[in-house]
Amino acid sequence: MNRDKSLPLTETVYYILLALRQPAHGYLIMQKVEELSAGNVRLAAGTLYGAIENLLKLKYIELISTTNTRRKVYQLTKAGETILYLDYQRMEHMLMITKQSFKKAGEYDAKD
Amino acid sequence: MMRKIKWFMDYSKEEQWLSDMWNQGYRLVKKMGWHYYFSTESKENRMVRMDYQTFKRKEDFQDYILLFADSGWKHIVGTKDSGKQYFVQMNDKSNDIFSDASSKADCYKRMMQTFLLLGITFSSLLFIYKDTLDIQALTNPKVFYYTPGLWNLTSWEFIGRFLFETPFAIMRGYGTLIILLFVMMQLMLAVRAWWLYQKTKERNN
Repeated sequence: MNRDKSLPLTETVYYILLALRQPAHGYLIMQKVEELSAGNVRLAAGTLYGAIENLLKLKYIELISTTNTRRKVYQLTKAGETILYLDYQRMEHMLMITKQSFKKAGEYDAKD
Repeated sequence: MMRKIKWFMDYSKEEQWLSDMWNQGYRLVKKMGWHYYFSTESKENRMVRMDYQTFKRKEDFQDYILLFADSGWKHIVGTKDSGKQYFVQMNDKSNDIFSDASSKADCYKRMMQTFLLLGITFSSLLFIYKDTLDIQALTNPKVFYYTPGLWNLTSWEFIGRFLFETPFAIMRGYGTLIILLFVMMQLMLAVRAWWLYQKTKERNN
């Protein structure tokens, strides 16, 4: 299978893309990522800035023009939406086969 | 205002030094070349952190500063084109300006690109002037002085004319060599930045 070479996404990138399904500025992205990851991923400013620059270059996110704010606001592009969904499917597959494997071995009781 | 002269390549060492200074009451307020300027204030435990970024537009730079301010880091030194950007922690909540090793390492990568660009730009000058480099003439610098009859002049007249022409003679004879040394220095700095990039990337934080 010819998989997109951007896959798998890093945890940081995955959460940033997920957060940007709704438009947000930098600091709001940080807050959303922290919330979405249940407090596990806390992005620092320099790390986020570098990630945004990179995602803009890859055209996974875009700048949207706003009139009344000094902070730049970003949102997910079509390509960003696609890559996010592909990574979601990739992980879903991994989860499914892992669950099967554990069930067969009977080492862990799958909750469902 | 206190001034200190230092040169750093390794960010973690520079950050450590500036944080120590801050804790002793010397706050970085300005940096010009290798000169660091400090104001004397009360002692306060704060971390100083560095990033390497350049910006195309003024708005990009302002947005960048605002993002750091939002997350608890005050921009203290750096301009749109300076590359090195210095921040100080505004409260104890903010730990660092990077949350993973690879984004911290990327600073060195951007720095390396700047050194390489400078090196490449100046090596194109070498290409233009390559014919002017005459190795044999270097051992006989007299040939770089074009003033007619210079070497037969009497002492006072000679000294005046000699000193006047010396800078031109140096550029004529050694210009290519000076540019070559500069290019080599940029390449060495780029290699050092690459080495720091690899080292920082592998470090787990």
